[in-house]
Amino acid sequence: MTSPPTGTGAGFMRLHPDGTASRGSRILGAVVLVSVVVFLFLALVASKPDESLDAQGQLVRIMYLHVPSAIACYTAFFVTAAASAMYLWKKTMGWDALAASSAEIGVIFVVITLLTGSIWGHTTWGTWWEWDPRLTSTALMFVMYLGYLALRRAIIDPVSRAKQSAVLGIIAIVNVPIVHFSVDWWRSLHQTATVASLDPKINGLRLLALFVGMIVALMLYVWLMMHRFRLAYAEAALEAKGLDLALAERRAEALADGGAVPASVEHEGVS
Amino acid sequence: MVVLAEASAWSYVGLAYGVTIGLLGGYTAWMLRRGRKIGRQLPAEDRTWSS
Repeated sequence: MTSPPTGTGAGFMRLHPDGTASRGSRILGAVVLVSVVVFLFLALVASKPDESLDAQGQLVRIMYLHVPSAIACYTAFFVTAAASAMYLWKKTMGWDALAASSAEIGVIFVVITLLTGSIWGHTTWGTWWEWDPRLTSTALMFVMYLGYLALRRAIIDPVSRAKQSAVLGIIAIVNVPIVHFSVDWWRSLHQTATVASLDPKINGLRLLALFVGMIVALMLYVWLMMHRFRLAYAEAALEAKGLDLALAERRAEALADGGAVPASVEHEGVS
Repeated sequence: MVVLAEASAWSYVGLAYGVTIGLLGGYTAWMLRRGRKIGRQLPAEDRTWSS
């Protein structure tokens, strides 16, 4: 006798059928988990400390987190801007949910970028923080996207919220190229690009660790997006159901009072 | 001295990896838990990804 394909007895792939997981997200999650283990082995065990002229020693291992998380947050914020533009064009809530999900994950990655950079800077520059162009513009980017998330929480009406945050999502992306090119445009304490040149500053297993770190960060971003987008979709669906219920209650109250249904309720009920 | 410097460098490396794993792990756990809670309130036909 076989058990139904739901519940805890249904095996690994369907442990929580009421959650945000799907078969695809579980497979990708397993791949990400294995990749993280491979990355940690490369970053902490297999790769040698940096003994070049401007030697960072063991601290080079922090770069394998810092650079990939920066790339993941750039990607997340570009997706937010693109989805915001699509929302303003198509006016469908799916694009809004995609933009919001990506912004939230981007904020997590930018926090990691700032913290790992700060830890590295404390030992290398002798300070946790410096008002350097790269650091300042990154902090500004963090504050802007935190503002984006705060704006979303401040507006109750879903349409108004989606429209206003889409505008902010497009404006905020202007800062991302400024962050990236700040080390070239202004005199900066922060080092210039490590691999984005014909003569990269690292090679061998160190380059491989950095490269694998970037792939893992991007895969992790995609996996987190799958779950976060579904969560945002579920939240929006529940919000819409709650709104429909409130409208039905108001309509019933108006009818019970013997009066006509208010025009606003009638209008919203039709749409 | 060299051994001390090495140990100090490793402690910073450990801190960076700990902070990263902690942040990502914490966020992932919150998101999955909230997904299950919200998903439970949603009718099965609305959870198009689980079909």
